[in-house]
Amino acid sequence: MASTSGAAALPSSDSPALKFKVVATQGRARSSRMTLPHYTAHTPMFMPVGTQGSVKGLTTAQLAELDCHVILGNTYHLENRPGSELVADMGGLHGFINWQRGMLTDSGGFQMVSLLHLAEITEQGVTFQSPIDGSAMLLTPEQSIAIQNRLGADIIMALDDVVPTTTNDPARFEEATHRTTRWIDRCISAHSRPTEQNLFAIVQGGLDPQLRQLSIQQLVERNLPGYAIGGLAGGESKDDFWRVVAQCTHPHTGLPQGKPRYVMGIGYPLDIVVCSALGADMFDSVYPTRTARFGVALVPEGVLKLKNAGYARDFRPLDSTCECMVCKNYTRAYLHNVVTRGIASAAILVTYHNIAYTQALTRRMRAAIEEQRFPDWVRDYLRTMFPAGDVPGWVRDAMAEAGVDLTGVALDQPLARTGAAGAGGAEEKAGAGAGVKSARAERRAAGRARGPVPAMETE
Amino acid sequence: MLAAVTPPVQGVQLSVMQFLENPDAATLRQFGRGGRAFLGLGRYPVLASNRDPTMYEFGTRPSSEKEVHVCIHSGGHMVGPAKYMDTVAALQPDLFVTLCDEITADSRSKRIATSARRTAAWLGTCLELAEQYSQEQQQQQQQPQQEQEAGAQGSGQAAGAAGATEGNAAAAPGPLAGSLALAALTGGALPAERSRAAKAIGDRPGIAGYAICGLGTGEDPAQRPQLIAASLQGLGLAPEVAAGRLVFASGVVGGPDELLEAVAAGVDLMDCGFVAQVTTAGYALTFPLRPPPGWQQPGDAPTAAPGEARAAAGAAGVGPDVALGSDDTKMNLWSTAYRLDKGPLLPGCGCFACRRHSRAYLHHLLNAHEMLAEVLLEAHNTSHMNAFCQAIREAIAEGRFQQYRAWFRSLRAAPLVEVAAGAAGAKRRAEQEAEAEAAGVEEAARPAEEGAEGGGFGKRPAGRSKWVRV
Repeated sequence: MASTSGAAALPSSDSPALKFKVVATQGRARSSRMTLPHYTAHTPMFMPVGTQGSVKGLTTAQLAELDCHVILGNTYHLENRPGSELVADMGGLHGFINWQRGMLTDSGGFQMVSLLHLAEITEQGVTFQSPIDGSAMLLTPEQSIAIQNRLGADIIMALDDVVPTTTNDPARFEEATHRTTRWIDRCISAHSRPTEQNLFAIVQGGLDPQLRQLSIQQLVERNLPGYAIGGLAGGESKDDFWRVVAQCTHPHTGLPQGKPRYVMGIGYPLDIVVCSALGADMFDSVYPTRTARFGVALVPEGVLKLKNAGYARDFRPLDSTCECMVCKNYTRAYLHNVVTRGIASAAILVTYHNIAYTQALTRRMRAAIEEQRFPDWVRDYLRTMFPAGDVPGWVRDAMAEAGVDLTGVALDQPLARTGAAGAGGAEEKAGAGAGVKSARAERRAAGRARGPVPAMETE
Repeated sequence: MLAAVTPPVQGVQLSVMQFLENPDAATLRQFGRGGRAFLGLGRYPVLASNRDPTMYEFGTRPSSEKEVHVCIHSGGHMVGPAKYMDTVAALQPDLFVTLCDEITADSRSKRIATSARRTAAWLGTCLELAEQYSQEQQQQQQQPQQEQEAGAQGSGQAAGAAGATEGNAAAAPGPLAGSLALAALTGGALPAERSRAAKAIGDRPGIAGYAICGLGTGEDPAQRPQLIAASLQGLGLAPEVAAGRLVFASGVVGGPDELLEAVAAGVDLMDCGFVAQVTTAGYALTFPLRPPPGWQQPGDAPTAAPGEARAAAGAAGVGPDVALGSDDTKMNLWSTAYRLDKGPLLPGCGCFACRRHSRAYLHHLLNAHEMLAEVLLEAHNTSHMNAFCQAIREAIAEGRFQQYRAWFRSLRAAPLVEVAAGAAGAKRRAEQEAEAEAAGVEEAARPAEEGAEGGGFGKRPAGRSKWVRV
């Protein structure tokens, strides 16, 4: 693996349908260019989710305006309706929805597990009840890849055996790790368009570092164009979450430096910043668009809950640092009105801004990395979000691991709480209970005492 | 997306009643830059109507000599002229309708007379208040308005009356300076009452035009031209005066035919509740906008049977798609007939939706219950109605409005309104108004038509009308 600093050549890779080139690094963070069949994306990048072939309420012209490079389509939903063969007939997802930039489809596995009753995972695939008539259906790796081949996205995801991290069954995680590897081989065999579509594998292993390392090794052996870190964003604690990401992006023992690393299901801005600091490149989530439909706007200080009566006469834009059309033309007061009156177009305006926010966030991160001022940028970002200095413990630990010094930003004695609305409120995830919490706190303290995460010993 | 509509939107309509609460006049005043800026409408002129075209705010409870009752999103409100004009002033619209005691088409004489009396009285009050609100105002002492300045910074618009420095005695134009008042004309569905009510209003200083109220409340659409004519002629204006007055009517567009008949009757500005309604139902408007070249009115071409004339009219090129799932006015994108259709909604339409997307995609979006379906359909339907109005304006300007109207009616199997042969139904107007501010969502100039009988707004064609179910 190429070194990430100094005069050594920056990491890159050249796959049949993808070229990845790191153009700048600082610490573990990297700014890169990913050339896909339809578009050259800049990373770190956030990808909005257009589940059923549209990012809720926005036109593809607006998505381009918002500087989106890659958007997601959802295999499960699109196969249901309108069907992948119809989409293929329409020129693939690109032609069907008229989006000419990058597209990524996931495998459909997650939806089935999360959406459907009585979904059962076997070696064959995922059995589930058809939502239409209740009959038994089976999604195999081969079928998932065939569907995604028809949809035609630039990046397609392997069908993986994903277990929610809150599951209390170590044997299940081990089984899932190995099965994911067996399924990647089936996905690779089934993939009929390797020069036009990039198959990414997904690292599994729950919260077990050994299983994760095993998964990394086995998937990397298959030499895929890119890799995803899966199985997170399912209710685990933030402390566990960042450690898994850190392991998978580790400079020496993590996923290859020269290939894109995609953390699935990440959308809280703070999480995006932390993962980028650790060396991740791609993120997707419904969070910015979904929370918009609940009247919640993303701002540097955290979130604005626009339904709150306090905004009725607040004539400021959502975010005074934001250049988007919504912040240039509308006030919080207006958005409060339409949000509280349940007018659908309100959702569209807040959605527009929230995507503008995430795109601006990643743009600024990339610029900061390229201009070698990323740690300063991170400190500014955290200071804005946590003006009282009450940066959550997991963020402190993760930034320490990433080599970003938070002296003066993360205070041991936080200042008296300011009234900043929702400052970092969403970030601390509850653990499983009080007992676990104290154990976690102990582990965290021990972790800090231990110093940086050591490179994993390879077998 | 409003900017994406082609032909361009010329103005936007609001209902004053929707601004009685959340936001209310006090909030708008504190904002200081009027409804147009508050709603992010950019440069579009605004018409503040007394009624929302997609709902009927009146009639839940009785009105009184002093106030009407309206039912809006937040519940019921009693609104008299003072509160009404206070809200109008806070909106700072380019045009506004005066307060009307709105009644429905089934009202009886006594109720109609009451409505006429109240509406006339309120007109006087509204005009007085409008005059006051037009006066120059001394700057108020402002609290440090960092919030407003921050709000103004991004939009690049001047803060207007609100962004003053403290203690400055500079005068600023009043909120309704330059706003055009449209006097409300009531009268139910009885032409004689309409005439009477209009006569009581007549012409007076401060009025830029008239709003014909109470239509689209259950009257026979075939009777509507007669009601409009009764209101307009009842005003008793000299033709050259009448030609200079705007006419706005809400609730008259249940379909393109009705729009055309309203234009024929002398209406200039109309609401577009119709667009919202067809959009919500998943329809794309597809009716043709121009007669085929060389189209002859049936009277001129004795050989054309009605069916042939229809076929000839429809064969022009840009025409309705008569496949499954559509009638001759609109297509239903829910229909499975469009599942695999890669073509645009309406071939030849240059709107945002037709340029960029297929019927199959719209069909999918509707079935997936995606918001984007309505966004795209609304873009198309608004564009189509605007293009329709543009075609009407061209026909009027080129002196062939009656021919255009005859062609459009010939497309229908059974027209809504029977017009006796030879009745011109013409209006006269000295010249097209150059008012850039003359705005509504649809606008049509009045025809400079030959053969005008009588003057002013136009005569009602002599002939019977009948109710036709479509």
